[in-house]
Amino acid sequence: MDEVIREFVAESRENLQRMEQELVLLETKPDDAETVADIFRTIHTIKGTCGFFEFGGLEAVAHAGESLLSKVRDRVLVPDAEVISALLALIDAVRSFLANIDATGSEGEVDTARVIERLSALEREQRQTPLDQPEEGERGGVDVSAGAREDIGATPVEENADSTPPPARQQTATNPAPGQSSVRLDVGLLDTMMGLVGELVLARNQVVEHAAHAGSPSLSAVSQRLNVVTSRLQETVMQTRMQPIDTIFGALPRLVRDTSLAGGKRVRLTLDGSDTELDRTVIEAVKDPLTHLVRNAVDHGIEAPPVRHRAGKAEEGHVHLHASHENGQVIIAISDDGAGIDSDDIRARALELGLAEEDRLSRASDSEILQLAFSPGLSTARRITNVSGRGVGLDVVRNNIERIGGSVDLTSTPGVGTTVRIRLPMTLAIIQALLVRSRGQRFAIPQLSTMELVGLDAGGASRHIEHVHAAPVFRLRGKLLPIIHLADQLGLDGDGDDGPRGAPAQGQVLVVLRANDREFGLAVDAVDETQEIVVKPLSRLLHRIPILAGTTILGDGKVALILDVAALAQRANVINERREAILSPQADGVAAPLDAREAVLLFSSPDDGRMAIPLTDVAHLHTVDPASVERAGGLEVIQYRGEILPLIRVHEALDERRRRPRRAEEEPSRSSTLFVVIYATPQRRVGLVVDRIVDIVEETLEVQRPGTRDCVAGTMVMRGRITEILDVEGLVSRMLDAEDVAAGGDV
Amino acid sequence: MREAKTAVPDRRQLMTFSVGDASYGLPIEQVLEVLNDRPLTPVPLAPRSVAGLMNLRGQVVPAIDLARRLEVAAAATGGRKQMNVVIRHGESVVSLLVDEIGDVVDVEEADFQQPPETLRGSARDLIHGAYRLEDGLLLLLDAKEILDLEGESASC
Repeated sequence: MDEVIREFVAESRENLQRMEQELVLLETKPDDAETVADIFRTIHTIKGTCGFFEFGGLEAVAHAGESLLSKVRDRVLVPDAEVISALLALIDAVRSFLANIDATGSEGEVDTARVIERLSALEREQRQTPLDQPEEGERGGVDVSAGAREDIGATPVEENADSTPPPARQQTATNPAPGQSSVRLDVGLLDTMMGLVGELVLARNQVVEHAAHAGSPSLSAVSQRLNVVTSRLQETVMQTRMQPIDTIFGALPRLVRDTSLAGGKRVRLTLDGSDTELDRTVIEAVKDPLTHLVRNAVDHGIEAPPVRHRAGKAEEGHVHLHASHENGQVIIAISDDGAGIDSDDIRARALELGLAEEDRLSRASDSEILQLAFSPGLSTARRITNVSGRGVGLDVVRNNIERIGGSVDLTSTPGVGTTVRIRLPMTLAIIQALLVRSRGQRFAIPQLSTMELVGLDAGGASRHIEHVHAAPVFRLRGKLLPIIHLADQLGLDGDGDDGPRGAPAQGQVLVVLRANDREFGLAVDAVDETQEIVVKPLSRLLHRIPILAGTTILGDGKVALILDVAALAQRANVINERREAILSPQADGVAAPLDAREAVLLFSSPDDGRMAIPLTDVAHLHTVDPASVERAGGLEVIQYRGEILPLIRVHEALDERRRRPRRAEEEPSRSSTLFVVIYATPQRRVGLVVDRIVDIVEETLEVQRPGTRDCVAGTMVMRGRITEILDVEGLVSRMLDAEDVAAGGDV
Repeated sequence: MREAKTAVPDRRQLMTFSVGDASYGLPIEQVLEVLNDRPLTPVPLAPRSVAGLMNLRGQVVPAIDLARRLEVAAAATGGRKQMNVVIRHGESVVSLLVDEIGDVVDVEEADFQQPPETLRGSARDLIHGAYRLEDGLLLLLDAKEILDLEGESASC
């Protein structure tokens, strides 16, 4: 494409952005002649230039806008909401043209008939001038509720302007001169520069490492110097890629205007820290999430004016954005003074959706609960508008932000307002990473996702590992973290089973990671150090591999893979969800009858998990000499009080446990005494062989989580331990009926 | 005398190398450089023939084990050193691991023929054709097909 046209597109886009902001401003200050003049200038320039390039369609729509604007400038027309809306629609049309020109070099097809019709209809309409009848109080887009706006407008007024070219016109045909000290640069060039600096950083890392071992003072000095210069060069080049966040903020006034209009709200938007700079790739990535959050604040946060009035607040709501730098990160806070979010609402919704157990929900602090707002499907919006509140949204926002290594959290006080805080890396090209080892291979984990490290030594930490449904979890300060093994996830141990495994081995390190609002533990063999790494994309050949986010070259020149924490979290979630999915239908039927305080028998499984059965159905506890166990009809049986009692070895009967390799130390339970729980119902009696009887306790049986395998009614916390409630009937009928054995009878 | 049947130029230079007991060639203009054995970082879950990633002067380049890709046995198993033939195809830079590097040979279109019927396995799809040379057949590889790993399953 022609360089001149490219220039035209770039400049017009900038001007349109400014024009958009000015239009929204104009709505609140309709008398601001300077603003009107600038808007007029912008559209006039576009019209003039595209006439030159023979972009007819673009010229036509720009012309219609110019005519309307000239009436505004001449104070024949009040720039009310309708006029502003039409002019904003004009901006959209011009942008569509520019997009076509940018892509193809020609203006292409854009349907402008309606926009032009709208503009010229307004132009034809006669209106009161602001000079004759100032009515500031009722006017001004963002300030006026939609209901009130309907009434303004169609007052006829005498025609007094004849569209004579105003004096301003001559002097305005040029753009504001760009600063002499700045140049426009192709973005591709900047990207190339960044790439080269990245490689220089790598070479620097290697030299520095080399020099450290070489023991040569002169080499050390040179490498030191190289180190400093490279760092400064890197900073400088990164600066060239920095853009003020204003490139996103600039579009927000209009967004707030449109959203508040549609929702019948009155909203004042204030922006702070617009000059905060971010790498352009980060800007690109955060644009949609940020827009979404602001829209949410207006749509769900700010109440309708009557509601606010009743609550004793100003009818006009306030949305405030604040961007700032903090410790090498950028923080963007989006605050509103709206209704806030009631954490109890979220609790209720989360429970309804089965996102967490009731026990956990009631114990969690309000701020922890609020983070659940980012869970998929959880929307507390009581009504659905055309803008937002369909239950999708915040989870996507969080995913997008975490994908670029950022994080998001939410604080809210009911009745006072909500603040969402986004934390972003300043750049994506060079990141802080934690280097870990698994099976001798090194991997990098973005530092922003890592929460803490827990060493799993023999005595201490490994005691905190428990099993929920055969999947290991780590109890960290009362919270249960699912554990996944890096070696498993990457298939480093050679077999492709990605299912849950046993507890991490001693000496391993648990890296506590956070993504998708879920913390989980990643078991690795060792943790090396934190390093600044240069992210290099994964080769196209390897794009389909999940879990890997990219590659980098370490100080020793070797290639290391960067892990995709969000994808790992998904793996951890998948494991949980699979468990939940299998048993949720069963839980509905079982949870209710169990809901009463009763005595339960606790016993333990070979890997020290806890199980419980209601004591009401337990006739007797019995110890049995293994030698007295006989076999009959394919079953183990014992003679008990004159009848033949079939035995079920509980932990072998439950499938997941059976798959686990039996360890030598479990064998004694076979050879020494067997603990048998005699289970009796009017229909039958069976003996349940358990590993060890733990206790008999009084508990209100409330299933907090559906069971996850056959014959488990659900799980709950008893005596501080996760306990599975055995569905004895299910187990018995599966074991005995399935094998075509008449229960307790002719065996 | 030449027949106009394929897009093969009448004279071209091929970089030759061997994998197992056969000789292969690639047009010299596709070959960026030839390197000695290099440390590779294995890539978990990668397609079977991806041997790993190497650091090529700051660029991360995947290495494809040509023997595995062609489903032929390499010359010797075990800790044998392999050579890297670094090629460019489109935007991808990839290293092919081979057993030995041969000469650059001039071939003539007259010697070009369709791939031998005896080719087995996936090799058939990866080979354009063959040149009859004095000391045997030289198989012309198709870089595009070699880099198309879509159908390959993960290595574990």
